[in-house]
Amino acid sequence: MSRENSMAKQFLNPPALGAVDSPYSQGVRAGNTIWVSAQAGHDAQGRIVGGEDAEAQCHAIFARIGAVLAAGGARPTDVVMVRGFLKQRDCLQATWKVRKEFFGDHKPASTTFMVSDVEPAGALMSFEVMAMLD
Amino acid sequence: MPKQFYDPPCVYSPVNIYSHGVRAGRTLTLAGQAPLAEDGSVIGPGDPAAQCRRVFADLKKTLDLAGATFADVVYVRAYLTHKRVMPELRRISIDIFGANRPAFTPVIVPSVRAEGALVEIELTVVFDV
Repeated sequence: MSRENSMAKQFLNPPALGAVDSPYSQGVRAGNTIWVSAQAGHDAQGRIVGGEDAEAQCHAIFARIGAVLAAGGARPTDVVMVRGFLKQRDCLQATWKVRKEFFGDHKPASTTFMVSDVEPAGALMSFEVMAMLD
Repeated sequence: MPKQFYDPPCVYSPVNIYSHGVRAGRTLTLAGQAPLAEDGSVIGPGDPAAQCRRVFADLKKTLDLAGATFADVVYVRAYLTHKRVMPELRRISIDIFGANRPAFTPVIVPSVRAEGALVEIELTVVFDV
């Protein structure tokens, strides 16, 4: 059975995202579906990128998401669902801009929420995605 | 392929409009599970550890009915009313999941449905062939 069709799970923890000291993975691939854990806008050492700049944080988030997708053999165009968790509604415009750059003409389904807090401290938002490979 | 619906008898539902688990093909999707007693009252008010334990105990009842285990979980979404619940959730996750390392999204919200519940957890399972 080819690896692509195997139903054994693959844990996706690209080293570039930083050491994982956690009961969870940055992403999991099972068959042709990939679940990417919510990512916040921090670097591999856990430091928030760009201070209070929503666009900078969002850009860092989607760079991380891209790395996890790539670890699973997927690309932005394989994403079917995006969920955004924002501390402030006024971050929305910045996220739309970054998402347009990341996805190009590809339009996954999407839900955005306002939430009361985001990990880690200083994070304005987090995003998760789900991808399905052909 | 017909879907399969799972409702463990001892797990509370506030209203009879949903199932605790639905299987379609190889994927099993569980409804959010809060820390509730059989009568719907919130277990362990103010106690994140007790609430997390109860949540996973009830999730296990639905998994058992569906023939799944925590080793089959690919993704966890946890709704928390405060980030201070996170360390307890991580602690219990280490015990529950063992060698498994599911994907994980925490969502910090003002409230979940049951007042006094600090946590509510959804699981997604994919069965091996």
